[in-house]
Amino acid sequence: MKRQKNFTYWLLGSFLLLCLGSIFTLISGETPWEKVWEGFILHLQGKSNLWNPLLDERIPRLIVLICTGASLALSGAVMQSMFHNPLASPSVLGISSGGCLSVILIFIFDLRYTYPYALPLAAFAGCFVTLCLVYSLSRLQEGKCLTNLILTGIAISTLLIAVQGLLLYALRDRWQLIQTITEWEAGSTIDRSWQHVHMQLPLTLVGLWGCWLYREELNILALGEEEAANLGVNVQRVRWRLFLCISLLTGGALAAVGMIAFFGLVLPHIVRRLQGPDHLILIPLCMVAGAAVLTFFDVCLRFFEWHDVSIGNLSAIIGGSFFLFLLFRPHKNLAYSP
Amino acid sequence: MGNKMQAQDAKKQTPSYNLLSPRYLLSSTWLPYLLFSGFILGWWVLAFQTPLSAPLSFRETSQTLALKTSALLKELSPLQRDALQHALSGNFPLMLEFIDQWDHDAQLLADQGVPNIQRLSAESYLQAHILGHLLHNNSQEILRPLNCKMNLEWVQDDSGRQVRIEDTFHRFLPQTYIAASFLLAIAQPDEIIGLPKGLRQLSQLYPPDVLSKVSVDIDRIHSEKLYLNCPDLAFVAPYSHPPVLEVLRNQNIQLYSLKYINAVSEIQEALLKVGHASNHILEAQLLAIFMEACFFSIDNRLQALEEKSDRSKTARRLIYLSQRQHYAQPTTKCLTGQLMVRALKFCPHLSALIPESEDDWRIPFEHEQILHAAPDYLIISTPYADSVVRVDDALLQTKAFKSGHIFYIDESVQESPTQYIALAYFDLFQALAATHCL
Repeated sequence: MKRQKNFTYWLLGSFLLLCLGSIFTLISGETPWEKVWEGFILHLQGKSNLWNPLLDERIPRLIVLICTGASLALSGAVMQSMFHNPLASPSVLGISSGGCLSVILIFIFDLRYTYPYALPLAAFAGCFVTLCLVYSLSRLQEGKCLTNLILTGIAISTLLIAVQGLLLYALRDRWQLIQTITEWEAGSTIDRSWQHVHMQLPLTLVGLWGCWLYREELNILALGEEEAANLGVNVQRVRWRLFLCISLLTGGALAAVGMIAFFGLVLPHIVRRLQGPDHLILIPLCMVAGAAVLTFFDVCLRFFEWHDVSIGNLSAIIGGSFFLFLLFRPHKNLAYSP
Repeated sequence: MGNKMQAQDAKKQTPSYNLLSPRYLLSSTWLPYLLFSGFILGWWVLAFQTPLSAPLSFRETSQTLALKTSALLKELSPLQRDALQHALSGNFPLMLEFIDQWDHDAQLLADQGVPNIQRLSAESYLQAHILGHLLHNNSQEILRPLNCKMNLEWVQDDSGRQVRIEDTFHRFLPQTYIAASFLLAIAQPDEIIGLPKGLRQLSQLYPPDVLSKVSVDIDRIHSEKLYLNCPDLAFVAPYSHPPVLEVLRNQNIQLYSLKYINAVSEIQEALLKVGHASNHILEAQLLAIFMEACFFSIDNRLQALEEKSDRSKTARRLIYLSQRQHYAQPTTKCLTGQLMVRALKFCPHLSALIPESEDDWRIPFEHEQILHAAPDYLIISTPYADSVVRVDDALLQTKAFKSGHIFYIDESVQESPTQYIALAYFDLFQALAATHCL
């Protein structure tokens, strides 16, 4: 009961933060608000089809931020539950690296303008193949499955980063390409448009819905795969579909914003510690809190005009510090059982 | 016991499927895949059926650079980009021809009463002529001893190290683009051992027939290759890889370090240093004078255009942007920003802000900022290698685009800290001059 009450408070608090961040994102900008609003109304009335800052830049940016925050937080939460591991997240298990490598190939072959959906498709495929590979390889080994999973993730991630490094080294003289990739890898929300929304939103909607539909199975899976199978859960199918959902969420975020490291690790971890492992609570709270925090990061960057810092950098710095804290904290009791 | 209890609790939560519930969908083997992939693909088909942004071919957009701005100043000598580029690549007779023409133009403008006309000093003009005739009328065998006579025995490189320049130096290893670009213009191809690989990508700047005469790429040079080629001097930079420097030192190859180029004046300085170190000071001096004359000539043309223009008009807004993942505005820290500041001094009819910064080379400039600034003219530098230029929806709304006042220029020229900076200034001049007639 107390947890339910806390959940309401946390959900409302996150929602409030998201609202504040959204309002700031929507109203702040170079163009005077009156002019923005006037153009917006004219557009809605069908009297103008001119580019409008609110309609064509701020709203798409907000949607991308919300989708990315919710996607990464939720994919991290689902992975931590599925693998019973507090360190599981898209970046730690190398999923982001897989997606990143595929996206880099799209940049190298210059397909993003000719086939705009190539970017999210490649990101999704990269994430999915990497996830399946990490999971399959970790199952092949004997011993502690959880340790195997993390170590396999790190190994695959290192391998993928090495391939990425090899490609970038081979193409180091194409410095415009290198600069483009560097900018994309840093994760940026500058000049997000409806194109980015279209790339990400369908993937995110399917991914979020899929995770939400499997919330009960996730609770049961926390008991262990054998127990879940005894209780009537088709473990193989659920796991496979959740893998797809995680890849859709991570791939969509990668395609629209770029690399946002550690976000999927930190936020679900905090939410889980605050609210426990029940996915009925965890999933909506992760979604709202993820969206709120990422929007807040973006607001900070814009408000303080930190041109040299990208949202990916900020998230990685905060997330990396938290990762260290997790490793060296004095008490390691975690809420990973229902 | 605890596990059993948990299992019983969980059993209560075991999903029960209802035909009307979305969970029924999940119980199906293939339906969810078909439905969701159909949803995603359908979305993308609808969203991306129209082009994302209007593609324009670079050739089409770069037509602006071929504008006949010389028609605006009919009394002056024509200034063509190709000829200028040819001269900068080391055509000394053409350099001399240009210097003559520009001096004549300066005289003409001064006679017409155009203020602040700049021209080479009498000493530089005379020096250019002597050098030009020397280089044109003598073979390398005669020039070599002359060059050696002009050289100092010891020079200090940019890292403060004393380097002994021998008369016998005739094999050079340019590790940096800057040194390679200078050497291609002032030295003979057989004197250059290798070129940075990326230089070959800039075919719009360096003629492939010249590059093909130097077959080796520097990144393919390892210690044994170095040993076989025996360079006398290597031009390195503060960012050179230390192990490579170590290999060079181990083979007793002299190192000459060139610093970062932060200003246009430093390019000429670096050119003269490379000229000294490579025993090609005569050629380097002429090229340096030519660059100075070129800047003066462009300044004079801008000044003359301003004198001729209608001054009653209100200042029109111009923005310079570089286009990559997103748009960015160059600051005064980068060469393009400095060139813009220099050119804009002669263009009071334009209001353009180049942000001052000591830290940032470029500052991101979002679509909204472009629209808010409502520029009358836009100069956009974009990679030449891109076969098409993307025009975003926001850009389409600008007055500059609607009225065709958008100028695309080659980014690699703008950011080249070599003698081709004069060509970069010419590209800017073309765009700025066009603001007088468009």
